[in-house]
Amino acid sequence: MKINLSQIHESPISPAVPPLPAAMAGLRRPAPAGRPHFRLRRMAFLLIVTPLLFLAAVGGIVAGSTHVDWSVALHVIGARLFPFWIDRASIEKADDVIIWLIRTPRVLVAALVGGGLAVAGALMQGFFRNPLAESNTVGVGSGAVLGAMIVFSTGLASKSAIALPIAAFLGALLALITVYALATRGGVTPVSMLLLTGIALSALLISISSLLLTLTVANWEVAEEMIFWMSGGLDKRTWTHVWICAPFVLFAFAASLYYARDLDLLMQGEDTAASLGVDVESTKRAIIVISALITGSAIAVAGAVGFVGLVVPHIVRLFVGPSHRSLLPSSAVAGAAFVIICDLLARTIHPPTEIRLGVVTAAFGAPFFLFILVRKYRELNV
Amino acid sequence: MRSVLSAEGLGLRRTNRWILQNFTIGLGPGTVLAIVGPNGSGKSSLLRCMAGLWPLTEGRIVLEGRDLREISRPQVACAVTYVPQEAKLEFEFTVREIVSMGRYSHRGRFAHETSDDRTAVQDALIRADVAYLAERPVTHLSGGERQRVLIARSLATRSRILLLDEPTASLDVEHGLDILELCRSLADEGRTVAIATHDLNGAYRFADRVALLDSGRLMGVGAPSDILTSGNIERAFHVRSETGSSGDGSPFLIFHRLKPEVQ
Amino acid sequence: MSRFLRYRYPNTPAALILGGVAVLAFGLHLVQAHTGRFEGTRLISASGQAGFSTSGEEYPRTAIDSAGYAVTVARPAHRIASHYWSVDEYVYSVAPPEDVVAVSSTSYERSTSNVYNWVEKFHPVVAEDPEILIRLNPDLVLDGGEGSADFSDILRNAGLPVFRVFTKFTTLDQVGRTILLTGYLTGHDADANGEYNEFQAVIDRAAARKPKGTAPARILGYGGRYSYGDRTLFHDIVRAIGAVNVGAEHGLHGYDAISNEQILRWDPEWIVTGSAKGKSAETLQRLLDDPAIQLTTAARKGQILVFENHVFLPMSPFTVLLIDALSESIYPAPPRSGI
Repeated sequence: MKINLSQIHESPISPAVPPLPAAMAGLRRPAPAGRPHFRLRRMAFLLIVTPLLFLAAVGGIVAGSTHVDWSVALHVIGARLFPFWIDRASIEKADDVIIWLIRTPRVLVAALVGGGLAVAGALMQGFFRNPLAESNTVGVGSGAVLGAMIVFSTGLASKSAIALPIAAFLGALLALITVYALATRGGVTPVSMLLLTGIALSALLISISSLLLTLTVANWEVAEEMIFWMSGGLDKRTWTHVWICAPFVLFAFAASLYYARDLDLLMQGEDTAASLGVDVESTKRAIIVISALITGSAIAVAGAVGFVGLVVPHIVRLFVGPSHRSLLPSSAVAGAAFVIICDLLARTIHPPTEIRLGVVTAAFGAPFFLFILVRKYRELNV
Repeated sequence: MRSVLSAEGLGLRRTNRWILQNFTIGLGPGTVLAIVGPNGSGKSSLLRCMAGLWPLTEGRIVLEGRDLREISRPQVACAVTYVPQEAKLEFEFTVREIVSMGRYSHRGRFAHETSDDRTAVQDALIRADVAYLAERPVTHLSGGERQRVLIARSLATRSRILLLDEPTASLDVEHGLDILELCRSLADEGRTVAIATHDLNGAYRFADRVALLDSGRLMGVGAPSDILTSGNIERAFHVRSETGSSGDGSPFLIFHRLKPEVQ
Repeated sequence: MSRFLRYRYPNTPAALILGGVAVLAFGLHLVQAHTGRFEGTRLISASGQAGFSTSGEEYPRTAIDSAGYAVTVARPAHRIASHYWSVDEYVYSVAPPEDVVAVSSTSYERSTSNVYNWVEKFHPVVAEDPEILIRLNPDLVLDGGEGSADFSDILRNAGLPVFRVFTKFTTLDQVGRTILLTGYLTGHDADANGEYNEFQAVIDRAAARKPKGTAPARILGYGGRYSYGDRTLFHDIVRAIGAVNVGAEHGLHGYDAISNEQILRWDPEWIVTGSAKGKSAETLQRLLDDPAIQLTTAARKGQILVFENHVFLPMSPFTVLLIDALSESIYPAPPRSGI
């Protein structure tokens, strides 16, 4: 028996039906005393990690290869930040220069890179629903590395200090555009396609970078710099580097907060998210772009630092839960503190030699992560 | 019967195959529509199209008299909720957090939870009988409990039209019955419910109308007793069915293998 | 690609992000003026000039370095820092050793350094860390032109005068001019002139060793898997002593890869290579063991020269060591009869 489609009248969407009577069936089963609510843990985590970040930042500025008294360091910073109130006359020029032009930008870059990469890693892990995802999963990092290798091997890097970060950033953006264009059909970007395309393009770009490295090996000084750069490092960062990465990292971070709830929903499945009101393709595009901006600018100023984007979100998630509204800010703070501390270790373990930052983040971060995992083993659903 | 959500001349083609062809069906307010058919007949695809999740190759979906494509996604989400058969619940959200996601389309990005939201969530938790699990991470739940959490989420949206894809698939007998009774009571309140299901007995008992699908075509839609005849069941499902009556008069179906055709 | 570009406009989130980033970047660019020099506007500098240009001998003196940057020196330098290994050698050739406050780490390596005695005596700092260099308060910092620009950038930001010396020498003439440049920058023009004249004298002496009328010797410079083609300093040295560079003869450009097959085919009369200190005999033996090299004229006539690296590698006034050693080996003075 077929149904008759009767007259369809124009009417706006009717308001929702009135809510259910609250005591409709009563609680069929009593709610037992649950685990401590995540909300308290989130607050506690931020309350612990934020002061840690400030302490690390101050430590990063006060400690260095030459001795500067901490009171002098604070005096310098105060005089620079509040020039009308704090007098600069009594500060030695060398101290002033070292604190303000060498250490402060370095600590700021460390914070931006660490916080940014942690947020980008968290975004990618949510986007791909995969705990192994990190900022380079879409191939953006490999594009940045290739851009840098090109600039090194053509000699542009030795001509201008800004050529390298710009080339790395452009490489990252070009890789993003390529991956996205390859993986999108008819306005739809399936996540699995993006992942595979990203992996394939990443492998290709890395192989071209290796080729460039082997071709440049004859010029061993440049080759040495390429290799050091690929392990990441924050030596010789200036305010220029801060200005290169700060706009992108800060704005992308703010934008990621805008999409935090959308990402939570997206993690439930694309159909579910769409059904609950998320504009899926637009959100996916935004998240990829946000992550690429952060990754590109972070690698541009710090070299290919690995591990931060992979592990920091996991550690933070153990304390704060998977909801991105709290995960993203907490990851940013924790990532910033982590990289500042790693950079501090890199400079002070064996002065005056500096260990590469990428080496320290892995060597220091991996055992720390294992330690936390083992402690929480019982609570995990394994 | 007025339709709140209808498909007109719906055609869906994906990966070079026609999944649904020339489909026309309407959902009326205050009714439960059971969509039945063998595996691969297009039940899930139909629900997805009607929720506006998949773009159509032909035809259109009409919601309250307006083409679905002209309505913004959040507005559609407020009106229609689709509950998938399986959900990816791999991250350690608590049950309450999952159910609260149903309120997403009702408030702005940075807006805080209102008391209205909290009430809706609590009611949904109670109604789907997962209130006792509210603070537990979803990864610690069984399949059936997860299914109920998904249903709770769809209830939290308070949308007038609910499309449920095999909601009783992993549920035990008690909870399966719960869900069907819940659908019934929702319909009695004036909402529109459509469920895709393999449970022909459940459909027979609780649905107002049954739509029978086969290979992407609508074979027929009408009262259960009219559609779930032994002839139709044999043609669509290749099994022989018998109708019986329980003590209180509720009908039930029993199925037997088809005898091999005698040459 | 066009499908990707065809966005559904207005695409609000993407537009917001890009617009916001642009505004933020511009805003921060305005603010940064208070924190230090921003070299961003000079993306591509005048590049590639092999050498320097000066503007006279009165102070303040200006010179343009290898990256096109104009450096002004206000007075003779008494605290000189050098960041590059060959620049170290120039500085020690021209300035008094006690004036050198920082050198590259290579100068402290006994096996390759030509200035080891001085650094051992005066203990200049190793010039890697910008903080340490700033504390040293040097009058002049000399960096190599081929390394990354970060080092000179951060020191310039701190107010130190940094000059990047062109170091990819391809002719002896460039080396000579760089000697004069070092004198010019440090204020030791007289010493530099003297050094320059000695440098020229060695070259002339070496050229004179070749007997007139003999065919030029055919020399191959050997660097492991690489050899020296034209546009290398080695090539110019070989030309100056009156011989022929086999690599360039066969079309090799710059310092480029070769295979043993090619060595065999080219069949040089002389093979020249470097070795670590004290390992010359070993290196020679290793070469003689190589099946391809064994068959060359150089091997058969015992004309494989192995010089220690501190002789073979320099591209500075100390290049005279190689010029002398090479020309003496190839065109030895005939034994004096009588007396």
